[in-house]
Amino acid sequence: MAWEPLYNLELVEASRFFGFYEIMIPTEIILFLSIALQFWAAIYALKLIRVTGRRLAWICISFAILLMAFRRCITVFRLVTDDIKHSPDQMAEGVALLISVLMVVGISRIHIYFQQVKKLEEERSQAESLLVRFGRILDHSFNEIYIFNAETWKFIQVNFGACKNLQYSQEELTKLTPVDLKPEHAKETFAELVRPLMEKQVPMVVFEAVHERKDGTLYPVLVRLQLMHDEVPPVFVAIIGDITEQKKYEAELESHRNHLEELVESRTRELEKSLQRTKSYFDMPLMGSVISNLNKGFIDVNEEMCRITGYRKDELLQKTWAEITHPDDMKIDAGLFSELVSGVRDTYTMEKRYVRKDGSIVPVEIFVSCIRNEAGAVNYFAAMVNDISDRKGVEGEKERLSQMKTDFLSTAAHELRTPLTTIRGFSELISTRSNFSGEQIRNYSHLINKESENLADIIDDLLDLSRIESGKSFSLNVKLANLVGSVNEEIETFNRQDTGHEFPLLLKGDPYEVFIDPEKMRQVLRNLYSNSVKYAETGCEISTKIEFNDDAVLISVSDKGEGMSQDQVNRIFEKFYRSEEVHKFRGTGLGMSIVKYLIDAHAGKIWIKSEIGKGTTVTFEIPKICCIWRDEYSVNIPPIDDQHKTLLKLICEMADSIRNGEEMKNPELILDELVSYAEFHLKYEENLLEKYRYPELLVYKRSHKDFGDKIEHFKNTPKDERLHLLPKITVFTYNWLMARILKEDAIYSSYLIEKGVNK
Amino acid sequence: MKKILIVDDHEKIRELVGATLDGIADYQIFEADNGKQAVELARKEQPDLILMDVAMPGEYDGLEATRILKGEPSTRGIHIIMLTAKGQTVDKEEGKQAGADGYFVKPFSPIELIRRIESVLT
Repeated sequence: MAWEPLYNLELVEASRFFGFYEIMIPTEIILFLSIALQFWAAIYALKLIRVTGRRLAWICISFAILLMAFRRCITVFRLVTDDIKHSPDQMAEGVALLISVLMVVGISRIHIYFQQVKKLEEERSQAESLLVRFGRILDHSFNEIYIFNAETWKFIQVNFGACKNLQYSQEELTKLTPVDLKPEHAKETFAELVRPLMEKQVPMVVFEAVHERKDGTLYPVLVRLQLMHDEVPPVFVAIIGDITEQKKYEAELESHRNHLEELVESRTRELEKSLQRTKSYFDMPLMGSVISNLNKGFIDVNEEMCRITGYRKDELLQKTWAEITHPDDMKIDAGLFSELVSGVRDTYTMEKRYVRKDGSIVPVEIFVSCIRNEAGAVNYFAAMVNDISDRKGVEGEKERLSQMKTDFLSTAAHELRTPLTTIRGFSELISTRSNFSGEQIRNYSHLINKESENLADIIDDLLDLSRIESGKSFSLNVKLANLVGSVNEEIETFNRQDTGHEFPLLLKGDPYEVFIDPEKMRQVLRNLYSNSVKYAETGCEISTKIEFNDDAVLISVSDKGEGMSQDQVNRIFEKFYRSEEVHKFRGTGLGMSIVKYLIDAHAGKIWIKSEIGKGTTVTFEIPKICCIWRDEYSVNIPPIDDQHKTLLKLICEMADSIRNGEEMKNPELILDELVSYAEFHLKYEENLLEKYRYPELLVYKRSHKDFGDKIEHFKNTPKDERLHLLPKITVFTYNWLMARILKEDAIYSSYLIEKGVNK
Repeated sequence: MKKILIVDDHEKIRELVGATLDGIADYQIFEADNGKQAVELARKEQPDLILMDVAMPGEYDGLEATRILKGEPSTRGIHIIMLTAKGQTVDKEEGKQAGADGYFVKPFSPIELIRRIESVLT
């Protein structure tokens, strides 16, 4: 124990200084405490190996401390076993305890320090690893991240995603600026774009752009650009996403939207169309259309309504229908309207009168309906307004006609009284006077006779009129007659009357007979001549011209009388019409309407040319082949005459003999007869077809054509060869003719008459 | 000699009236076939009696001619008998208002006419 004195020496000095411990604490306790602390310190020191990793140092320190602890343990053992004679220096042991405490404290401080260091280290490394990861991830992100100089715009740093997307290398990119990547942007526009950032107006700008790859292809991007002012130098950070997919979706969406819009548009168009259609119905000029509200005000009206009422549309829309309704009709209309409003009825119709803008009154028929919404409340009223002034006009026309008839009857009565007066007067004189000479008596008797004739004429006119009026037909006794004869007879009659007029007659063309009722024709001529006689001065010529044309006879009667105005000419055929100067000439006012009627009945036409002061020409036309009379007239056609019967019989015999294979007598004669017969027939029918377009005739058109072809073929056949064709054509003609005769077709019968007569 | 003016547009009526008066008394007969002519003749000849038809063509009808003649002092005194084909009361009234002194409805009896003329002229 060589080192013990040293130890004791050290402690002796210290224990002297701290002598008071001897009294306070027994040495054994100090020793035990020292041992415990030294063991603790040694174990602590070992523990530090884990924290600091300096194994050798800490094992040495721990060992040294353990040695000190063992030294104390030995001292304690000696004490216990009384091996030592004197008690250890208490002061030294106290210092040792203090040192032990300081050791434990120091080691624990070191432990804490190293623990903190380790923790910091760990935290740092952890933080560092996160940052790296973050960087790595960002670097590989498909989002392009750019950092570029705020002044030069040169890229400072770009991420891998940017390089990949753009196909540039990092080095290449650092030589570029954002403007180089954006073909749509120039320096100026880009500067404009980043200006809000430079001026710190906004923290970030977001915009869409197009990036150009190295190979020149383009792709759309969304750019989020930020300016880092605090960096030195300041930089822009741009985070850019490829929005190709998004754009694709957007485009799809857009196309869907467009499709939808188109659908909506087409629906709208359809709706508009239907609205237009409705509107076009509304605007139809057939009827006045009105939409009105509960207050009787007009909401909409069409043009026709404006025409009916005489107001402009904008004027009407300011009015209510009550304002334009005739006051006398208002009560009924308002009553019906309130029933409509209360729902008693859905619609109503009534005849009423509107007071037009000019104050005139227009009769209308209205049809009003109420349009209600789903809840049953009145939406509006729709009305159709029919102008019935025409209908009323027809009624007015009837009244006028009736008035004319009354006038006519009183005129007729007057006209009847005049000849009656003469008849009565002269007959009374003759029967009561004895002083008349034979000459006088003859003269007066003649007058009586003439007047009774005149009376008969007037009565005839009246009867004809009553027939026209009642709509009953009067009979036309048609026969083939020479018109010239009728004209001559009538002229002769007028000449005998000694009116002081000349009646020259002019003929043109080859005269032929036509189907007429000679009596009626003379009545026509009589009317025309008597009119001319009335209006032309004595000594004037009343000339007649008869023109025989190919298809009709034209007869015109001209005078150089007073003439008529166009208005008078237009009205001359009106029944009961007399020119305004009623009293100037006697007459029933029926002459010309009867004339028109008679010419009509003959399937003819009549027209008038007249000039005031120069005279009048009345012309009428009777068709050459006149077989179609109007249905309303009964036409008496004489029976088929004998000559025709003979012809028919000849054809029948011929047809029979051909059928029986017998020899024909006089085939040449029959042949000629047949051809001329057929040709005439054909021409006749052609005329009818062309002129009258009678539906019945159209049925025959086909057979007519067949027949025509056959006749044509027949005619073109050399004469000696015709004989072979004869049997066939004869049978054909026979059948063709019989079909018509069996149908008792008046057209053909009358032709046959004509044919017969002409022969 | 009494003067009688016959006014009628129908020649046969004038002839009838003429024949009626023929041989009865010595009358001087004038004839006119329209109202205007009648007025002129009446002024000129100052007849004692006018037999006036009502319905006549021309400027004046019988009523108008009567009105004119009855309105003039020189012709006011002439007795005018209307010969009318119209027999209605309205027409009689019209004739009366125009100033006619009497009327005959056609067809009239010549014998009655003679009696009337004689009563007027004597």
